[in-house]
Amino acid sequence: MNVRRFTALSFGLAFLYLPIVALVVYSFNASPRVTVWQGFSTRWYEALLHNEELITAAFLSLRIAAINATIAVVLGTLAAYTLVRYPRFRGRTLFTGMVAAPLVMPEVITGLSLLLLFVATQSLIGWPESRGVATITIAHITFSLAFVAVVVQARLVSFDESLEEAAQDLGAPPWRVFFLVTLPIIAPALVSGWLLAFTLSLDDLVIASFVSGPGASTLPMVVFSMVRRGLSPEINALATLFIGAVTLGIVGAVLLGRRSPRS
Amino acid sequence: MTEPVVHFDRVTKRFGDVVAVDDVDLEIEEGEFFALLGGSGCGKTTLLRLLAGFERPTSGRVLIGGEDVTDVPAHRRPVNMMFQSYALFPHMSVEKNVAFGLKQDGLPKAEIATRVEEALRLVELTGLGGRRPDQLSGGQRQRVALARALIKRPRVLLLDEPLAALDKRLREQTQFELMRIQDEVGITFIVVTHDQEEAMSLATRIGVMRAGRIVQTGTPREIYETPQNRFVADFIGSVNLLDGRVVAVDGTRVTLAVDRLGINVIVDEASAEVDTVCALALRPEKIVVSIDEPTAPNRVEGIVKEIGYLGASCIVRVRTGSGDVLQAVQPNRQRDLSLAFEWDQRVWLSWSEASGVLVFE
Repeated sequence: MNVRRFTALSFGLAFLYLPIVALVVYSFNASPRVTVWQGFSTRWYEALLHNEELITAAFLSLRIAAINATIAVVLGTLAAYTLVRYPRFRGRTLFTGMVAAPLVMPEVITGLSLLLLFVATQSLIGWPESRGVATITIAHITFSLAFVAVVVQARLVSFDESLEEAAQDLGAPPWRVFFLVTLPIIAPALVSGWLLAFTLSLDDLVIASFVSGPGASTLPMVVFSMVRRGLSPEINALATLFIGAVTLGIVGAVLLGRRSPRS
Repeated sequence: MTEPVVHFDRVTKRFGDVVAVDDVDLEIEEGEFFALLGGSGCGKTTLLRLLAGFERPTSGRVLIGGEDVTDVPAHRRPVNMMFQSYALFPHMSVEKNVAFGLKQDGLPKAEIATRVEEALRLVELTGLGGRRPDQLSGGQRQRVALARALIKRPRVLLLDEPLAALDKRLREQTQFELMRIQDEVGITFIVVTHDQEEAMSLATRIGVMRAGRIVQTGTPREIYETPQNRFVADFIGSVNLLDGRVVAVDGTRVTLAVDRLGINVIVDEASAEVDTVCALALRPEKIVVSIDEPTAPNRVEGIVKEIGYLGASCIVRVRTGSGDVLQAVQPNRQRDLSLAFEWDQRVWLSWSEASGVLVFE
């Protein structure tokens, strides 16, 4: 390989991954001081297991992420289906733009506007009584939906509609056409959209901080407050686990997105 | 009088302002191999989709076996379609694809298995049932699509450009295959195609479409030898159109004055009235090229401008005194490399009285 290209590439990769590698390495440090290496140990992983606050937050985050992903897939698929299958209706351009807007909207603004909305509805109709799991989930759905819609849209665009006609022609009523032909063929996009939405929700700190209330702290929120109290190797261990989970999610989403049986 | 298996009863289909099918009245008899032939956008595919039930007519009725199916949805019509893209389900094996139609009818598993095997044998794909569509060649996929559409033994099989995706050699082979299969199963086939050669060799009857209307129906021979108008004459094969005016009629013997060529042409087996403006449609292979002046009454002199060698025959383009170019096809009966005539040589073109046909607008 060209020497110059190799140097550039390794510099770029180092820039991206050195901090993460350092974090992973230090999660196995025996010393309680983050910056001093004292030999290999898994004590911080054990300590993590006994940290009630973190465990609770982790399960809360996973639950929110799963509910968010599921609802976002349903809504995002409906949006994508409408955009792809009904190409000519009034306001389509506007709708397309609006579906994609959360992709580029700064999180602070999304979070703030949702908070204002929840405060307003609370005083108007008395809902939500208090902010917490429900409001975080709703907030996550609003932006995950956009990502799912984009992923599913890409799949539907390449979908040959004569497949559905063929199934109908062979005697399948519309609902069976959907379950026997449409759904299995777009399934990889749905799974990949689900994983993406799951990961996004698991990652989110900013929006959750805005719309959360007392007693509902997601994992990123707990970690953030722990860090402010002082660095602990426990957080390194937690972050390592997190990186592992997110990497798996993303790799899975990409692989499924790529696997596309062609007719 | 038997009921036609398919009857389009004054069917019109509009998409917005576009009239895709314009007042089509067409009957197709049981057992026919009918070809709808026309250029792109002539409405032939729309007509097929109206029959399959994917489109609803704006007005008119569609009848299958005498029964009005205009409002019957696609999944309840006794017709099956083979799609241009084949539309094989990519997530199912060949076997599952072929079995799909029978499964929708809830047939017992054992019967489905036998009939799938039978269908695969018919299209010569025995042993490939476990494959997925993306593991098959284009020709094999085409046959899976055919088996899948045939397995329900529909009243009518619809084929949308069945050979368009195949290469030339495979196309010719598959043409005969299709004819054999139709013969074997005895089902009425309706094929949509833009390829006139394909329509001629496959079909027992052809309907030529233009701008949403059927302009002529007939056997391939009728369509080719007695086109009813300029469009059909021009669309099917190549043709020389000599515009003229009828100057004498003697029974079925019509004399046409072709002013541009400065000759009178005699046409047998025609009917026209004196002074009618019409054209003589003359197929290139009906014209004889000779160096000496022939005795035939229909003849014109010209200069050879181009000779195209096609192997089995030569296309000769001859410019007449008026500047009009006529095209003649001469079979290569000898292996002799030198032709009887050359470029820029003066030659005579002649044809018999019965070899052309008069076409009106």
